[in-house]
Amino acid sequence: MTAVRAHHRRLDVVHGDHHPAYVVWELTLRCDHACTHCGSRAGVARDDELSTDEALAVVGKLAALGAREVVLIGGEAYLHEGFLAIVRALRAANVNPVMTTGGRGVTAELAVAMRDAGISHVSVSIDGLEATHDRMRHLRGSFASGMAALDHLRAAGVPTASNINLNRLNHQDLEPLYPVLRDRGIKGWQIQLTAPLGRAADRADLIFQPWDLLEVVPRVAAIKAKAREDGIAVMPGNNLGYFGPEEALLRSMHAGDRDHWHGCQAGKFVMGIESDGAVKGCPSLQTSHYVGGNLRERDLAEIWKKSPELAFARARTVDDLWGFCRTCDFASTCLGGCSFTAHAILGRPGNNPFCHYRARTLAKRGQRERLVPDAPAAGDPFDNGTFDVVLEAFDAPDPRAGLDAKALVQITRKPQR
Amino acid sequence: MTQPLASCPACGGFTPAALAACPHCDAALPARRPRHLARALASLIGGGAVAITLMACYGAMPHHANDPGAVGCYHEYGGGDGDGDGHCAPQDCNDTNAMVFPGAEDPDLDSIDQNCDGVDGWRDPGAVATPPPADVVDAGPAPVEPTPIATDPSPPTP
Repeated sequence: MTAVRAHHRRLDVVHGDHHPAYVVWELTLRCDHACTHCGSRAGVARDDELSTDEALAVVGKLAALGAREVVLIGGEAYLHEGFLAIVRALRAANVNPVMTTGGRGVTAELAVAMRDAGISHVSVSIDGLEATHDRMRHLRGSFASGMAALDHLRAAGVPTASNINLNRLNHQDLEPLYPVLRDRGIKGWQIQLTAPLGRAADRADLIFQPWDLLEVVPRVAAIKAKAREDGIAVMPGNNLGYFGPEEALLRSMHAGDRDHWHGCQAGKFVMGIESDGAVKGCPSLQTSHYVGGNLRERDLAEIWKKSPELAFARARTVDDLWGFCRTCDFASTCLGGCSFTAHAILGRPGNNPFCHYRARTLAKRGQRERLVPDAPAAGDPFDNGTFDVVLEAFDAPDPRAGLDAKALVQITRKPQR
Repeated sequence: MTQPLASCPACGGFTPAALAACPHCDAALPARRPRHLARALASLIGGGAVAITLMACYGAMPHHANDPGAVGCYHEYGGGDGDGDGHCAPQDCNDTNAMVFPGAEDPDLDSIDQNCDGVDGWRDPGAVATPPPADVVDAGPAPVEPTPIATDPSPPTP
């Protein structure tokens, strides 16, 4: 008898058997929200999105490459006409189908249909308490519909999780939001930083400054410790960290474990697919730099194995790092943190100012780094502008002082189109 | 390959091998002893010491929740799994017997509940599940209206 190995995200990352174990698949860019922070600038479908038949053909290729879990996203995945059929196909192919959603269209009927199609679990994005969430998602009633989605899914027997994009607008809601979500029955909560990607690149005041991590990371760790007592798994997104004193707590599933960040896994065990068939090593990577091929033009296995755009993290060494990250004590382990986040700030990976250890190290020296907007983004999905990094005294005046919530979501750096 | 990290005995933070003092709390670090060859090889073969839980920034919870054995137990390489069958208590109703776990074969009349469903023998889940409403089966596309993009230009809150 063979025990079922069902822990789809638990992987040995040393031996180099790179395969797309964890896939995030944007079924459509069509969305019923137009969030101020959306990295893909979702709203309108891409010009030439994969049809249901084309998507169903992709399912078998994912299974053949060893995909364990596929997270369906958008836009809103349920706005793709083949959504339920694709969930069923993934389940039939023994690939775990998961969904992340804003929840606005998740009715009681859809929740039941998703359950019957075989959805494994659903994460609903809740970005703060009601006023904050609705402002960030630019839609009155968005919080209420997200909460209703959690209720509908729970009633249908679909396990639920939640996720939050953390930034200057909503971070004060973090602690009071936790019990609200806990009481809604979530099993997991993922907390990630809003990176200046897509629409968030146009709103530089929304983004944390690197020294904000000195406060934010310990708060997340404290919430995680508390949530463990409630049986809820709080996990940081890949761009929240790294290597502060709380690292083991942040990255481990169980108390006492010693997991830590092992570098960007894009193209190693993670893959992203855009709704027109473009394949990247991670769903959040910049389309302009990291698309390795299109499913309509090349076989998925060939894209995965041969495209340099997907292979960059497989061969990354300390020699690929620059700036602070090149000289960091943790350089050979961390390898520069999250690639898309670093690229979103400085235009290329390998030097990431959003790092807890870096902020702590500079603070010990009486310094901090301030991000100053430079070139704007183009205005495309998964694009970015650039920032200058200003090294200054830790107690220098904070230019953000006095900005209210309304100001934080205003466009301050207009995209090129 | 990533380099192994040590733990600071004072604060518990990770420390690179080359440092003499903890970068987090400045405590002096003990000199690291050379790793025994067999232990080093076992670590490489086992891989558990360098396993990570994959995450992407799309919020899915970090386990396979449809498998009851996976809820609350995330360690494919041991940890909270007492018998190494990939399932943890309480979902694993006998965490000292690797033949017993949710989803195991459960022969009738052997007086053992191998699959942890509360009875000896296999219980057809279809016999207890509520059938889906007829109008949901084969419903086709998601039953949502093609909602327009939110375009409310005014601030959503006072």
